[in-house]
Amino acid sequence: MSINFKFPESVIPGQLLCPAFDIKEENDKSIVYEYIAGPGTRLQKHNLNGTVVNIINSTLVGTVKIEEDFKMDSSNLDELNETAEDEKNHSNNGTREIKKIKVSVVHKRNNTSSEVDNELTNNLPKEGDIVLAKVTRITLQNVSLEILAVENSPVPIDSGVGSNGHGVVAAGAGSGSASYSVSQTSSDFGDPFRGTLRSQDVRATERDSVKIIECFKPGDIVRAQILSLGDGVNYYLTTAKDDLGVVFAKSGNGAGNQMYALDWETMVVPSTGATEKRKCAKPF
Amino acid sequence: MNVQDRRRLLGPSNAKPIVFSAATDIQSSEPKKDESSSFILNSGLIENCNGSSLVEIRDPKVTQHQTSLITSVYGPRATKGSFTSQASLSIQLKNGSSEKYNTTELKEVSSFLVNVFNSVINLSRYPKSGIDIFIYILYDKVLSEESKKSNNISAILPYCISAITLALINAGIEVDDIATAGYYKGDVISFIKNGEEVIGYWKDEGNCESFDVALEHCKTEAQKFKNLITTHILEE
Amino acid sequence: MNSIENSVIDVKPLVFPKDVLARISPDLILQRYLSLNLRPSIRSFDEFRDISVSNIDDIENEFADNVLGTNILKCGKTIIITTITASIIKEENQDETFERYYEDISGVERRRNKVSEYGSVYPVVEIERGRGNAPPSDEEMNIGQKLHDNILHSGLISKKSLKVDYGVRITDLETNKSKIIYPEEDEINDVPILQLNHYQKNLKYVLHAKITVFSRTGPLFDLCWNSLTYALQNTKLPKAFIDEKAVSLKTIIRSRGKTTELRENFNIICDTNTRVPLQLNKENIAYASNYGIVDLDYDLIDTEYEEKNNDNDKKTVLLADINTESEEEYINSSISIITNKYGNLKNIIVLGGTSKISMEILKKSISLSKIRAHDLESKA
Repeated sequence: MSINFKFPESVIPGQLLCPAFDIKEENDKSIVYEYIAGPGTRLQKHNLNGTVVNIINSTLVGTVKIEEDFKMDSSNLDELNETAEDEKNHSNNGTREIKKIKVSVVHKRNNTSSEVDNELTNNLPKEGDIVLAKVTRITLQNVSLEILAVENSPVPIDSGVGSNGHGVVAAGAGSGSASYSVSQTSSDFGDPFRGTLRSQDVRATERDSVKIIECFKPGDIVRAQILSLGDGVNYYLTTAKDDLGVVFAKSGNGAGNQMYALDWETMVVPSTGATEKRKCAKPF
Repeated sequence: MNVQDRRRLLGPSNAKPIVFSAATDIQSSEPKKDESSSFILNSGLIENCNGSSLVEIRDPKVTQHQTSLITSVYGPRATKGSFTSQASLSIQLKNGSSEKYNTTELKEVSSFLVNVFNSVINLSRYPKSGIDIFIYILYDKVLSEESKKSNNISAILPYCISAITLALINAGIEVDDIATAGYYKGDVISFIKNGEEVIGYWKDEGNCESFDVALEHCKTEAQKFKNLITTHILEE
Repeated sequence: MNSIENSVIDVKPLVFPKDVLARISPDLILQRYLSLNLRPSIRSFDEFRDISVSNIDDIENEFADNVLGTNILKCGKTIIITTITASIIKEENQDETFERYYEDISGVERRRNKVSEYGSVYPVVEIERGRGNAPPSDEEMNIGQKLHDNILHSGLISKKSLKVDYGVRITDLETNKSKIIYPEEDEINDVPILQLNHYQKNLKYVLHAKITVFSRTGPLFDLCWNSLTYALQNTKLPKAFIDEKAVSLKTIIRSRGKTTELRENFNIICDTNTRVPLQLNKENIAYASNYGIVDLDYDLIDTEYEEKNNDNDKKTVLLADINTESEEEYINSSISIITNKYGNLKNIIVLGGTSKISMEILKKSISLSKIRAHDLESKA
């Protein structure tokens, strides 16, 4: 991909990256580069030498990542397309091409761990993300889960035992049990993102005959995909794929030993040979 | 002291806080005229939050304060209640060892700071979540005798803004720009985009000549803080 | 680290990064580390985190007048700031009656009553975890109560040392100079002082501690205890006096019938300039440490490991200074010890939990505590 625009390598918040549009003449053809603000950047009006220009600036400390975007979702970029079209009309040059370039900034913290999906500039679960969640409650129709981590990215550090100590009482220090309900909405501590999994989203086939109890037990760690942001409380999740389902479980409702997947609906304790039913994720 | 707080061990309720003699007997040791100013910035010192910063500033000239602030940023994290398309922001200040500022003052300041940072943080990136910022005033000491009487909280506002900015950057929360502020005789003005845009204006008692004068002074001050933060980030 | 046992087929197994695995399956990651003779924090089993301590001498200028003692304790990432303040309370005239009663009793009763010779501190613990002005959590309340009780029962502070020996400020009307006369330093047989002594025993300092914890990464009681102990050791109580003018002492003394009412008016002022160190019972200074006991679980460790160790004895290990999420969440059995370097135990709590705590482990933890206490003492 040839872009004649020089991007800085590492950036800090507020640093200007590029204008919204750029034109380059190449073989009698003018190429319009349309830059789109991806994660870690924002399109803003800046006052440069007296004129107000649309400029993409960085909003994070990190490194710039540029990628050509072929499949642009037209719906949320209508506005930009219109302006692009306007420009098209102005220069009545039939031979022009519009290239859409997505500019994003990758936070330095996420850069360090290898194999990590760098798209995640922050840890908020989004639609389509794979998450790891713990089953907290099951009913006939629903599984309630607590989202522990977006896959490959540690969930915000500020939830979990480290900060809220919902673990078992340790010596000499009481547990910081999270059971206090606090009036202030977001000042309560250790409130995890919650998800819900409906019985028809458990598997792709025979969706009507799913028995939740034969698929999940409280305490299981489930690999699931986010269907939608859901309502104020829950994300909606699905496990209707081969590689989604229970990844870690203990036998005897959590009292026994670690189990390993035998096939897609059975898990086994290696030392005792006991088996239990689960909707397992394909381990590879 | 509260009527009775059964959850904390506050000691017997009829105990009287100790009162110190006013400095009638003039302390000879007190006025150590130290005109040196120092700025210490540090970030990421707290483990159990997403981002944190420590700002220690001693400025005998402009604000005449010596202050240390610990700031922690929690979130974006889940909120209770109905769906929100963008993050909600809350900022709280806490007195440290000395109960210097009363709660109303701190509330006022925090609502001012929320307004400032609502226009800086890219809130729409964080649907159905909340960002909570806590500032702990470890100590705050007035350096000059004249300003000791007024006990103005406005002088530490620029420090708070710098501290929050630094903590947000450390947390990896998207911010439009490095927001900083300057102080001039009771006025605090906060800027982004190289001083092109004013995002907050706080007027407190003080004999400031005119807005223009304050604007200029604050701009240079803010620029100073911005440079400090920038160098700190680049050094990391 | 592979989450699932390796397969012979050439496929890419499902892999989780360490941080994620620690969150979703803390027991697994802990066991894997333990099987390598390490802990998730790369400490060895009986290794403590280093503690660094700074106190009021280093930062004296920055704290307000009413702060009498401070300590800043850093342990790993955790920072604990303790400040000691005081208030004054008028005690009912119990002492003499008590002493009389004390002579009559013996044995257990006597030992129990010994507690009443000691004073304590009222600690308010705040653990910074992004909760705002929410009511204190269980942990904060528990630690606060435990600190208070343990200080009281350890006999660290005797009531005598909290007594307010106040003087009188006398203003010479002619020169308009004031001077303060304290009871112990006078050979001057000043009349007001003598009369004053009559009422001395009624006033007592009450110590308050404000303990703020930043960056909690594990159990905190022992860290808070150590920080509080350090802070108490550099606490300096102010000298107090009453103004001759402020309260007319003579009025009180002369009108005997109304004394109780009038004593409420006592207007105690503390001297900004002179402070005396709080007298602690040095032999009772002790430091705290905590331990976790965990069984190695062969189901979680690689299967090959199991084959090598065919004896089906469960191996139990003792971990010093529990820290990090995976340890804290997974370890159910723990020991907390407060002792000094000579093994003068002040408090010991053993929680059975899921692992068997043998005598051997108990002995080992106590000897480790002594070493730890020795180390901590050198930092005071």
